[in-house]
Amino acid sequence: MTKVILLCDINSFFASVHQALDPGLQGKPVVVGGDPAKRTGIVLAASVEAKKRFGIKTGMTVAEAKARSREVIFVSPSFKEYVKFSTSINKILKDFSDLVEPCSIDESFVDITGCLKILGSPLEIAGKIQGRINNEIGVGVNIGIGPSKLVAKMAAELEKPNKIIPLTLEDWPHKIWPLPVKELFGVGSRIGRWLNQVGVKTIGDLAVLPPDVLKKRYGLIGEVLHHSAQGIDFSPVDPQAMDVVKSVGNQITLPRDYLGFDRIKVVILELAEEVAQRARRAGCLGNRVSLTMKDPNFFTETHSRTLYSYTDITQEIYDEAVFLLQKHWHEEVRVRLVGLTLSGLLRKEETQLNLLVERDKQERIDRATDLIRSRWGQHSIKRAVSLTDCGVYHER
Amino acid sequence: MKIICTRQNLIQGVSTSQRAVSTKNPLPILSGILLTATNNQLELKGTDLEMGIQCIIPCTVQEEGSIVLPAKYLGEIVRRLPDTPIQIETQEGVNVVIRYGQSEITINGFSAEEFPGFPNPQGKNSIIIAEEDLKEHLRQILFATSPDENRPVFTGVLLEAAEGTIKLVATDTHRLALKEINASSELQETNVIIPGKTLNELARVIGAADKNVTISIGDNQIIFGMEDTLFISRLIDGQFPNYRQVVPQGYKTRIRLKTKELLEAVERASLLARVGTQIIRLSIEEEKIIITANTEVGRIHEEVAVYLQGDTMQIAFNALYLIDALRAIGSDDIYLDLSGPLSPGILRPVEGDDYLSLVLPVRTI
Repeated sequence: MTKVILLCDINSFFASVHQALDPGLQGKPVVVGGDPAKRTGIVLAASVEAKKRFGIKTGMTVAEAKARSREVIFVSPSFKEYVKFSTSINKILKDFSDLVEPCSIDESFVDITGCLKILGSPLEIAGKIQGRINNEIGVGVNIGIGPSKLVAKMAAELEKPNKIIPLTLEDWPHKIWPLPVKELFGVGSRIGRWLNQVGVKTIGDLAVLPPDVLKKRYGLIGEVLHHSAQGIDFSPVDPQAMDVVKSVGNQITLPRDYLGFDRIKVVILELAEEVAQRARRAGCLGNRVSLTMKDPNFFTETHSRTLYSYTDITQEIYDEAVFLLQKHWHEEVRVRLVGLTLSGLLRKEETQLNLLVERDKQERIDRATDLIRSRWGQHSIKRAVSLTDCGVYHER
Repeated sequence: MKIICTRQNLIQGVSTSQRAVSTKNPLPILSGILLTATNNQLELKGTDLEMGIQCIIPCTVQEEGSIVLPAKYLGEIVRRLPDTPIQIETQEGVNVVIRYGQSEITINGFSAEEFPGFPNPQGKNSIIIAEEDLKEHLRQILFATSPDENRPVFTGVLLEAAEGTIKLVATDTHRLALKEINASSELQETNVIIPGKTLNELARVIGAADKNVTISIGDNQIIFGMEDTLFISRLIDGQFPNYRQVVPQGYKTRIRLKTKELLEAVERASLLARVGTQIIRLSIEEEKIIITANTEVGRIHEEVAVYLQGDTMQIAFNALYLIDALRAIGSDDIYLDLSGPLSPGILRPVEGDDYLSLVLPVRTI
């Protein structure tokens, strides 16, 4: 039996949340962005109005957006609200089917194959979902309907905002094939660039490209791409797909460029503390530490290292990151941004014991700080270096 | 320089000295082997500045001299030469012609003057040990070293000499291997950490019957002298953890079993143990030990007959650590001593008390 899959994509999610929270913003060009004074001034999202009337796009600098019009209203992001909204939206979706797979904060797949007899035709169901999201949450939603996740996803992109778009495999050739190849789900900028180089401009071009060519270059992914171009996708809607945390990471744009390892190490320690604490809270251990650094010219480098054993200890993550810093970064180069990620995560169900007593001590320090913070607040205890002028987390 | 030597000798000299040459070294000169011809012998030297290997082979010297040749190409070439006398002659500049039969190869080298000088072998404390024995000792120890270059101490092997015995110890903090050797000679007290990499390479070239290795230890270097080969290596700075503290005295549970039976059972269980964690559970009962692993791949239940002395017990280990330890132990029958689910398990050969290896368990909820 063919499946019926919906993809619900909230229109301009971050901006819509602010509009839903503040009726004064409704119908106005709203832009969610960082604070240019802290040098985090990038447009994270723009409302439908800001996009349509002024051509403001995600990723522009706030200064650029401001130059477009004085009418634009700027708001600061509030991630707590976004998570709250996202949860409520998925709750609505779960009223229609238990097969709901959130694939990002503002997009979820729903498999309604099994509900058709009870709830009506796909269009009727999509209509009900849209109505509830519009009325109960107060945001616009695009719903793509297709026989697979891929087709539903491509359908949802065809027309905006607040539309319900069914797409069948019969429609695929004339609706999807003329689109640029980089619009196809699964084609990133790198693969897109290569495809353009070999003369593949549209999804239709990709569909007729001999599969061997793709397979030779990209292996298994090449094969999947070949199927994708035909509109074929075998992946099921997996409600648990997002349950597994794959990595925890934090990054920060520094209030001013830092020069010298001693100063950068302070930021790394603060990030390590944050990352390790998040891993511990999630009950995870990781074995891969990645350090990202950006220089004032936005030249970015990421380096990783796999640890000999799994860890959630602040000090160990810090030591690895410092090792990466000293190995890969020049002390004379200024640093604009520092990011730290712990990946290769697995559940901390078992712990390999260690000969060294010092590791035990580090674990106890971490446990104690976690306890103090959970009781008295995140800022109740901090590293002494955070109080120097290099610390960036104390003002947060 | 102009010499004639046999293919066999040349292969031996090149492949031994090549072991010290690192492919990743930023200094181009270090990708080469220094060849020096004097007194009817050819001396070959390779180094990565951490470790140096010098090898001497017999040859007919027609003209003394020296040259540095790229190790990678020289190695590949000599292995493929026919079994005829081989002539090596330097040309104008830094070229070398290798002649064999009616054919020849010319390769470009470097000037010998660029090659870094070897430290003068200086060592006071000498230990003499049979090649075969040292090879076996190293096999029993080296598996427990750590590859983590961020903590150099654990990448090495501790050599501790006192009161007529030498102890070799290695640990990556999850397991530990300890070997005791009776030394006949009068020894000064010594406590040094030898890079695991040096010992790995050494273990590959030694092993001849009826030959000895002379170990001399200097302030920051160690020298292994064989008949015609010399290994010089830097020592690792740092404090090796106090291994005596972590080896439990006594036990609550002692089981005696066949190494091979447990090894094969653990290897099978390891196939099903979760990738990454490799956890298997051991349940020690009156006359058997039950090994289980239960993952999304499937389940395994293995039983191995044992003689139990003491309490029954449940404990979990990383299968790979147990496999390494069982392979290294070199004895058909072993004791596994346990003191609790959170204390190290200790493996000892039934015969002899000069070796033990210790594996830390995994704490499960």
